[in-house]
Amino acid sequence: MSRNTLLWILGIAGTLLATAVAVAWMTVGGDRGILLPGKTTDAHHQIELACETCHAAGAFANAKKAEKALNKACRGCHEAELKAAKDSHPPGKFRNPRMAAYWEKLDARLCTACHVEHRPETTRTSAVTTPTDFCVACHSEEEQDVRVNRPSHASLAFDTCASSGCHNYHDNQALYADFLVRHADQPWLAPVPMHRFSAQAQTRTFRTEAAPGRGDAVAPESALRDPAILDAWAGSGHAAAGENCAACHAPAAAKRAGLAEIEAQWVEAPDMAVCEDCHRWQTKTFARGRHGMRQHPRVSKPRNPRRRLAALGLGGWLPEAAVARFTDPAPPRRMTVGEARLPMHAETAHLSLHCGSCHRPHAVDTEAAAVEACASCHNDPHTQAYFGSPHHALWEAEVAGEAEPGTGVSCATCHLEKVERRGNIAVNHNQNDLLRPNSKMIRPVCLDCHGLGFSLDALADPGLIARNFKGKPEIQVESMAWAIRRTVEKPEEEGAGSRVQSPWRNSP
Amino acid sequence: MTQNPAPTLAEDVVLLLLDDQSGTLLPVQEAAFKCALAGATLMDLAFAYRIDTDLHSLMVSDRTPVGDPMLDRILKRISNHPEVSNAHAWVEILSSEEAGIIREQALARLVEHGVLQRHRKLPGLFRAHRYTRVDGAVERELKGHIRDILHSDDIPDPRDVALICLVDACNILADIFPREEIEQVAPRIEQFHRMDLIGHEVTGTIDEARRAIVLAVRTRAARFGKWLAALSLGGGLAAVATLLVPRIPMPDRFGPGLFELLWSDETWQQWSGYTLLGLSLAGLLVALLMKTPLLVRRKSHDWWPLMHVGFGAGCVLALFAHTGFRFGINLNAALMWNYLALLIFGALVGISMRRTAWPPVNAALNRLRRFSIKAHLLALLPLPALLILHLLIVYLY
Amino acid sequence: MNRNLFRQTGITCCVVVALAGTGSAAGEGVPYRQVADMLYTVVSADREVYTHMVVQRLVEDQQVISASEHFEDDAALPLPAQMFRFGAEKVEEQTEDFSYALLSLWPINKQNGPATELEREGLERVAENPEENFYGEEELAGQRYFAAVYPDIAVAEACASCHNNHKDSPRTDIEVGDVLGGVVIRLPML
Repeated sequence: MSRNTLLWILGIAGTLLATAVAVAWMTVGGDRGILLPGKTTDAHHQIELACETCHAAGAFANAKKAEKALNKACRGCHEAELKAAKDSHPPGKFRNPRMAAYWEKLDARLCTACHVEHRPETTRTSAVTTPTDFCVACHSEEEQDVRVNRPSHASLAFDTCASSGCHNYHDNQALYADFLVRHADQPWLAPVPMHRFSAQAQTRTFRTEAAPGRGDAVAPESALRDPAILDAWAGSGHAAAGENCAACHAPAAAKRAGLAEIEAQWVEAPDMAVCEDCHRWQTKTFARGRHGMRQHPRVSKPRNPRRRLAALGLGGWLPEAAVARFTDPAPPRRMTVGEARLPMHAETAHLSLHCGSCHRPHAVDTEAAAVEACASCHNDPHTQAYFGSPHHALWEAEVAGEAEPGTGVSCATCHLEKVERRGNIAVNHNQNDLLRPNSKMIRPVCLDCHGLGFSLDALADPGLIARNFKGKPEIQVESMAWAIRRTVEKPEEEGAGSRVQSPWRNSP
Repeated sequence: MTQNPAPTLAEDVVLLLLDDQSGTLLPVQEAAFKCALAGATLMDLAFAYRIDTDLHSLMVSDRTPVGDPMLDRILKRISNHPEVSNAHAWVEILSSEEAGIIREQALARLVEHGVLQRHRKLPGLFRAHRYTRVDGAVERELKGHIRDILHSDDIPDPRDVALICLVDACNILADIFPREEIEQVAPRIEQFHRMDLIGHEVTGTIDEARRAIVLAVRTRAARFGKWLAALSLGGGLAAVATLLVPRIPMPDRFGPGLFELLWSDETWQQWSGYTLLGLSLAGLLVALLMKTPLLVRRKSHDWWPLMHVGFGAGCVLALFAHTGFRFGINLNAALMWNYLALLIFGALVGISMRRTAWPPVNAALNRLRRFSIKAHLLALLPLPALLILHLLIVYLY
Repeated sequence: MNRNLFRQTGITCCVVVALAGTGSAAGEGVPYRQVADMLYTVVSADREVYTHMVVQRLVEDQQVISASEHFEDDAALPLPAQMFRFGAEKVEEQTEDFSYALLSLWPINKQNGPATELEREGLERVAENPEENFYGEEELAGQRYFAAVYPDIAVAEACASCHNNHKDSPRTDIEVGDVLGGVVIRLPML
């Protein structure tokens, strides 16, 4: 056989084989990492190999159907958040056919008009893939020309709409004109700065009369050796609520309380599922956030190669060993610190994220979970700068008992939303609800202690954020002044000004 | 030459280019080979005193058939077209319209005379046949004979001089003999070109005809090679630029900018992608047809290498339109590297076809060409699989 | 080819609409104009009920709550016009069989100005001649629509005063009885 013939045979066989293997990866199962067409955005990289989560239209679906499926996937996880944010541009607003002319410019009926996945090059902050001046699409012509409708905006460029702390595409709850006017006269710091919900959460009392002592712990002998653990438990909310060791370590036997049975079912390191039994909402919100999203119910499960083979008419056709090769790599159910893209402490890379990562199982004090737990992994300038910041000083005072509950500001104060649920304060473990754009924090957090004007300025100053609010804002967001001029003072006097020196510089 | 079993010059050219090991013709530049065959035929007619040519004109001096069907056919053709009246024009016509037939007939005659033996190649995708020498049946080894002439100081036979001058004019001498040898005998070849053979065995007319034909062959071969090399160089440089030039950034301005449409609009991406695929397939098709015996007789055959390189250069442009110097990651990156390797090695093949006045450079180009052809073919191996996957991903997800 | 469609419009009302099969009364279906008129009857009835039985009663008569543009922040009732628009958006989420919008030549929110030639013409016609509805056809994004424009009149002092005093309103001279704008109902033509 000549060399040419050999090459032909080799080429054709190789092509067929490689294609078959890759098609099997795509349709049956297997590691699809090399098929990723581009770096996945932000937190989505955690679920990037669960392709079917978003690509749900099925093989050879037409473009329209595929797009529809993608957008449905976006809404599946993000719709509640957008609803809560009183989305200023909900897709429903653009479905009326009268908006047809706008569909050509920027089809706001689709999430994917602005958020395209796997496009790292054009992915800007908040996973936006349209140029930053995208507002120009609909707000720059004829009656809709904002430069004509708002004299103050006459000389503004469209790339500053969403980047100056004035507007967001979705969430404008703390930015709309009447809100700005209403909160115009607030001092930079409230007379009694205190985060309401944190205060309520800190001041709740346990029914101490019912709380057991360390001697009341019911557990196998071997588990009772560490007095520190027993003390921690005895002082915890778990003990106060009457939950003994078995509640977590042998939940099925807990109610019957027979020691022998508890010993028989004893689990040394209980799984997260045990926490979930009681802390349902917390676990649910944890799975919606960046720490636990791999457990989100909408993330597609690993594919079943047997079922898929059967669907292709190849069921029972391939030997077990071959099927094993075409099985999705079991994704780690929990994200590890090492997989994170944000700067983290290298030595924590192996740790995975679950309830116990932040909450000490026996002490269950939320103090450690509010600062120490975060800083034990996160290692970015903002986190580093927290220690020694005014917020940190307040937190230390509160923890030391020198200041009122709710006066301290921890990581969790700003990034883990506290909400009132059935009369209790509960922590929403989806940090994404209170993260970006950072103006999301204004109403539920900042305004409890600070004035709106100061909050806007502070959040628009990236340097100040990196310093974790050591010092005063260097820039001033003019939206409030313009809103006042437009509504309260004479509209004719309204006009664009340039960025001016911050008034907060000389405040106490 | 009626009863004479002596080979025609075209047969000699074919014999010289036959690779003893593979039994196929050496992969020389197709156009050059054809020029050599056209020149050889004209030369045979001149030696048979049928045509009379100098630097300005070519005329039929005697219409009587030579006895060789091939030569007679060409002679008839030339006499039927007195308006085509110089060697340049006839080299062009014969190389593009008759060369394939001349080659096949030369091979057939060599088999007929028992010089070569024909073997059918089994899979037969590139060339249908393989030829080997019939041992002992040929009285002399042509290559050895030429070698002897080149190395000795004897006065050579005018036919041998004509043959050497012809293949040298087509720049395929370096494909036949090793580099060192060519360097060594370069002055002797030079001497052959200038050699005045009048008074030896032939008349001055024949000597003049030889010069005119060699000049026409040289001009024709070089003109074609120039285009090929220039196009290859252009395409190759553009492909290398893809490697070196940083990707063109996407503008941060809303609106239907060309770059944005090109590199992020899915419809445009499909257009550029399928254009690229179409050009690639066209290039591949031309390459396959070039090597398929069925189509060898087509008259436009010698333009096909140029077409192949043209499609290649088109691919570079389409690749730019499709990617904007972006490599992507994972499978896309692999595809991009693979495709660029194919383009760059292909361009190197085209560039290395060029012959210069300096034999050492020619020899280096020759080695480069042999290497590039292999690399070009190797780069082609994984490409179909990568392309299929690249397309499937779009439709399965 | 009559199709019975149950669609929720406005607040709680359900209406049985027989969709038109042809563009004219000659067909076996209900004509587009009649369908549009029926839809208008439902949506305007809902709004009127909300205006009188909820807003006017609670805000003015019983004075237990206010109505406000920022009803969530103010813990107030949505304005009738807002209520109307929420209904329209809800319909858009559920069906493409019809759509409606409350528009004006002098909108407080610029997005509620005319967006197509037909809307402009219709709004101008009903503003000049409130006694007559406007009907027409237009093509949007490759689909032909039947569109009807109904005059929207400032029926109460609250309507006029709000439109006159709002910081974003282009007009300050509206009186009760003036045409404020129009309701545009669109039906895709089969």
